[in-house]
Amino acid sequence: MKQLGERLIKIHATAGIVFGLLFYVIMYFGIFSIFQNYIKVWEKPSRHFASMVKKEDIPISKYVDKMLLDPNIPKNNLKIILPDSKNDNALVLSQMFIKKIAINPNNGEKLQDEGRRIGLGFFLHNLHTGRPFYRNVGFTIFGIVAVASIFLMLTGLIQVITIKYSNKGESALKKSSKWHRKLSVWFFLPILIIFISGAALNLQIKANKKFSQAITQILSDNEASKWPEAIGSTLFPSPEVKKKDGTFARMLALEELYEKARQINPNLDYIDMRLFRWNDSSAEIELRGYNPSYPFFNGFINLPSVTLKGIDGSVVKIKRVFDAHWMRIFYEFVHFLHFVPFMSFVVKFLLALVVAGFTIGTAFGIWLYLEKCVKKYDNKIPFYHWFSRLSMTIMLGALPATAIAFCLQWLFPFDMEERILFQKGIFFLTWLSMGLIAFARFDSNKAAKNILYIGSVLFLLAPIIHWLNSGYGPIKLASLNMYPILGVDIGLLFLAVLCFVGAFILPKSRTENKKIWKSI
Amino acid sequence: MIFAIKKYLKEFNCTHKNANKIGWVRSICAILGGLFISYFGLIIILKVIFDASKDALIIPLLFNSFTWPCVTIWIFLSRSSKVVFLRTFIPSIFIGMVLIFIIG
Repeated sequence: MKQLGERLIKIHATAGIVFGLLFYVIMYFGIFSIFQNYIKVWEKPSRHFASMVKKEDIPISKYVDKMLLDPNIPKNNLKIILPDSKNDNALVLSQMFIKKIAINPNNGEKLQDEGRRIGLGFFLHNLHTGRPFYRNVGFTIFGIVAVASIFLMLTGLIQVITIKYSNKGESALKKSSKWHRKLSVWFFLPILIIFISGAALNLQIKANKKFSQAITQILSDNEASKWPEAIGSTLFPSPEVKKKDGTFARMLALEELYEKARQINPNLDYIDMRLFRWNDSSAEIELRGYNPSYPFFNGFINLPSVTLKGIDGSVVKIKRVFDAHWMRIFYEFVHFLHFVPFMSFVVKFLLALVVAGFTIGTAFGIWLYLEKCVKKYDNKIPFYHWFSRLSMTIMLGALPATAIAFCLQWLFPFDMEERILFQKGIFFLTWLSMGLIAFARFDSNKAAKNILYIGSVLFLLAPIIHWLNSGYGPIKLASLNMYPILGVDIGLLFLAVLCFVGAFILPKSRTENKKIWKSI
Repeated sequence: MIFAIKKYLKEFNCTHKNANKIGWVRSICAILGGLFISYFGLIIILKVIFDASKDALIIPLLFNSFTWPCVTIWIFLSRSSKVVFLRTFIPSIFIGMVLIFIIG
């Protein structure tokens, strides 16, 4: 039994050192990915306006009807995304064959949508999924890291259950062990569910459809070779195809139809409306929403809806939460906690806290390994380990790198060519140059202090540059109720303060570190 | 010659005293064997025992990545090299035979 325990610890440590840093990167950018909708509003100058009207009071047909008579805009399968859903404050028309059209809901002006050309939020989200590193290669590596992290969590759980640990002792080794254990156990369950869904997404669902080829062939008796062919149509059903009557008819106003849908199913928080065969006598409209009283069962891919006829508003179909295929609800249940779609800010903030706690727990785990390395030398010679410097580069260097990406978003002119390329390049260069500081400075405390001070200054500059260059100061933002944009600024300031406090508390030399370890 | 084989078998059978070394064979057996067993074991349970249709594909699609580390831990934590080989190859050969039976 003792041998098994020793082997367990050894395996946990080895896998932790190999995958720990990538694991940290995924978790760190996951926090930005939770708030990506707010960042996507913050980064666009076209979305800097105050929303004066409520979602229910927007005269949608007044803005949209003229556009729908334009022959260049397709009338079938056209999606109108209502403002405030997904925290975008514009009314958006989208269809797969046209460019997105964004409309100001206050006065019906067409906004010049920047699209993904300046996508900072999209970039930070992609660093979480692994797409920038040669797409499928990155997806696979990050998926394997997710599998390894499930492995680490399970081995860690077995250790905590079988081996008796004591929380006593004031050395750095004991303290980092204590906090590594505590933080990981507290947030174990939500993180495990999130990583199961993440590993499934990256290894099988999204990237490598070949990985699931064998099981698909066995289960479907060689009819299908990739999973979308076998279950794609039940998991993501496409709308029914019906024939046009071919006669022009006047439709009811869109806001009247919206009002009717709200009377039919008042529990829903409506997100978007899809128009089918519009301006034809067979026209239908599907209004999809999210039922907040059933989290985990709807909101991500399973959206309850009300389908109405375009001419007179009579009901065609009402879809409730549990009307969907069991497979869809199951898929929804597994992935809900990973995506928290359409949830309020409070839920997203709580999830971010959980992820941040687990991230710090991971950092303590790596610290624990390094303290064990120090123990061998026991203050005889000064300690310099390449792995400690590499982990400092990746863990602390990520802070100034994200900060400079936020700074450049409002520093570069918006009509600049290859803007996102420069932004990404400077982002990675900053990250590397933090490595220069971490490796070149002999005293690791001083190096960490320097990196954190740089990070705090850059995080402080980012909202100031935004306030100056956008023309929307903090007081103006608050008075116009533009809280999603102000919230990102406050979050950046909070990160700046966090970096500064971290750098300030950290002692100047390694021998003084003991005071801090005693206090926690 | 026979003495050498006997000595080797004895080493093979006894519990390792030095648990601080993991060993390459053990890790390769655990990771690749765990992948094979979890990947095909789940589908065989669904196909042979429950006689599932293709709708059940969603279960291995979502949970393969969870059963892989579980089987890997089970193989990793065996007492001796013999147990590692037994835990890897008996399920693998059994699953392989069932697979040939299903496909062929």
